[in-house]
Amino acid sequence: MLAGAIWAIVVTAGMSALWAYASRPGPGGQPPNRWPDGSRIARRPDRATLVMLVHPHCPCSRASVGELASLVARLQDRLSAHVLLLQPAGLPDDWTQTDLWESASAIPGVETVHDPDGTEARRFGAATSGQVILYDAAGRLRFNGGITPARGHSGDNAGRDAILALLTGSGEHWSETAVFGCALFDAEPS
Amino acid sequence: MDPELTQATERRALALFRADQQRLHQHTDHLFAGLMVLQWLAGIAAAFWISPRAWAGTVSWPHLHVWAAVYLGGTISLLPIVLALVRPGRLSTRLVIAVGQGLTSALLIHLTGGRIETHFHVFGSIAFLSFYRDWRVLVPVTLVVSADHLVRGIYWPESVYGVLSASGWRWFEHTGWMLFEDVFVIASCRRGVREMRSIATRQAELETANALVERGKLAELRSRFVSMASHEFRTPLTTILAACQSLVRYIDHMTAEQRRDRLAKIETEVQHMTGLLDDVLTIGKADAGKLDFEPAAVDLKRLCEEIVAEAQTTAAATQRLLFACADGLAPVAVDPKLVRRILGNLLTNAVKYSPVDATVSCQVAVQDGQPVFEVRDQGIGIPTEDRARLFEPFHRGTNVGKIPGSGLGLAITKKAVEIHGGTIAVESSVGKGTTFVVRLGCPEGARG
Amino acid sequence: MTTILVIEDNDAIREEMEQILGFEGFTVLAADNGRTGISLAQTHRPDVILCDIMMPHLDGYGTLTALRGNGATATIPVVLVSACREEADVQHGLALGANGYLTKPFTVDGLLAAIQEQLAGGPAASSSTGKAPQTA
Repeated sequence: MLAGAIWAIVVTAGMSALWAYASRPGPGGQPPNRWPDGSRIARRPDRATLVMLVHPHCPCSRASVGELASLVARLQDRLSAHVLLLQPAGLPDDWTQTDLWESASAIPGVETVHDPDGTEARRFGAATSGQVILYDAAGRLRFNGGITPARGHSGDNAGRDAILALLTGSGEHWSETAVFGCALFDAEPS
Repeated sequence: MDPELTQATERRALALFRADQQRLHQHTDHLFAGLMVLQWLAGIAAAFWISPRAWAGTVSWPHLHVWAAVYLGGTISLLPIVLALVRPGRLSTRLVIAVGQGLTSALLIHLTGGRIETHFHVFGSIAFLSFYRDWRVLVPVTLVVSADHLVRGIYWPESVYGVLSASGWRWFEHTGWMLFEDVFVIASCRRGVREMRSIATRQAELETANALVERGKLAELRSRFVSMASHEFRTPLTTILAACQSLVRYIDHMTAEQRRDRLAKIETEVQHMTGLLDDVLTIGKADAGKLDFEPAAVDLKRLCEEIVAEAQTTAAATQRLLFACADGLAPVAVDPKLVRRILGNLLTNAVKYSPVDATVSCQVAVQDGQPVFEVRDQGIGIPTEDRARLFEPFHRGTNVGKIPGSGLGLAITKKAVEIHGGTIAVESSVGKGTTFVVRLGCPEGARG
Repeated sequence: MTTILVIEDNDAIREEMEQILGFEGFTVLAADNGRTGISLAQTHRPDVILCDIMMPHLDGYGTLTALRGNGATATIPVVLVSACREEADVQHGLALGANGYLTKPFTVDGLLAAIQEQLAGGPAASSSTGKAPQTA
């Protein structure tokens, strides 16, 4: 009996810790309200532009990329999507060319590029892998955040629903969700 | 069938059913112990494969999921495995196993990032748990898996500004699917239990029927024995009554010799009946399992010499009784009274059924701590058709002719041999002779 | 002289019966098995046959059937003598053609009465049982 109670408590504590970790958002970033100048990425004036920043080795971002794929499939011509994979200075190309790169490239209609030294990430004020930043056709910031319900988890989530609502005309002007993923940058500035 | 017998049969059926159930539960507990180990290892492998390291920029460290798979997974599996090995078959064990299985599902789903395919583990678990044929184990697993979703939604809701999250309904749907499967599995468990009960009942009824048949057979044997025994007594009684009445009516017409002759007959028949009575009582005791068995350390050679000497007195003057026994035999424990009956009986038979100038030989030895007696005669032999019934009470060979005998001697001998845990074997050839070989077991008060 | 044939395998009982019947003035023939009994019956045509049932090789019933099947002996009254007192056994004997049934142990009176009954041309035979044995 006692053993059972102890076990139940330990297990519950363990599962709670696991969920707490999964729900802990990564460091938030603050993207600029208008499309930043100087960005390598070409913005089309006739549709919304979506930018996702990804750390090539972050396991949690697989879910984000998966969600992106379903978003793009739903929105197609209303969205121009770009995925930027971080490539820190001094590291070779194959450090960046992981399965995440492959999955992102495989999404039709998505442009997948390197982000040397994290320049673009900094430009867009992104700090966490999987962060999605959406600007409307006029270049105004409409969404900043993650499109997964928890770290590395796929499934229905608020972020994806928000973007869908925005672009199909039924949503709010602006929304923000937490991003679940690894930090893009080291603790000290790289 | 009388009510007492019906009750006894029902009790037996219940006992058989419980035993079957227990075996099933224990076996399934062991299966789950193995499964838990496999799942634990699978979880670790999944964590290594999917999320081995966490990153911040260029710095990485082992992902929390790996630790979770090892330690949390291990802990979740630990209590179920321990209980399955230490207390298999108990209700608490399988309830803990069900909880553990639910938690394992939750953990695996979590480690694989909520992958749809991993959710199938839940349904597989419910199906596997049905092996117990106990619907109660489905409650903890369903509760744990639903609770995992629900509690997460309550304590760690997605924080969001401006949009209603739809994830609340997912929980409902998952639980709904689990309940759907539960309904069928519970029905199947109950059917399984009903089947087990009916099998147990049928087996108990069969046992009762067999017991009744045995009882009937025994009763019949006993009544046959009684009627044969009473028949056997009537014969000497006839002689006694006739002799007595003769003496009463015709004593004046009899010569002295005729009178003496009759009195001697009466005496003989009374002795015959007394012996018969002893034999019948002995067989009765042996049958009821009440024959005294008192093994003691005896000097086997001396005991057998005495028995042979006694048998010699019943033999004709021209018959020879040979006794062969080595010196310094290994010590054995036998019941001397029963050995007297066994060996004495075989010797008197050998003497009785042999011609007047024949030789009877008796060999005694000890092999592997077991006493072995061999009695060989050159007598009338035992016909093949009598072999099967040789040791039956009152059975006499078809070739005994006038030679008197109660037909109980070998029956008693066999019982005495069996009480020693021994065996008796016979070889015979009609007209040439018979050999009996008796091997007594090593009785530590053990019966054969 | 009335001749009685005794067919009985037990020596002691047969001898007793011979001597008792001898004392009573009967001529006695004795056989210790069924076959000898049948041939004696055929050659000597006794007035009454007393036949034991439990005998080896050919039992009383077989002997009785053979006697009844043989023209010479078919009409000789036969009294079965046996330790079996079961009604079924008695009826079986009577059905095979026995005229009387005497159970062992029998008294001398019982034995003589059974013989007299047959010599008198006896009524349809019913079993005559010996009196209970008295201690000598």
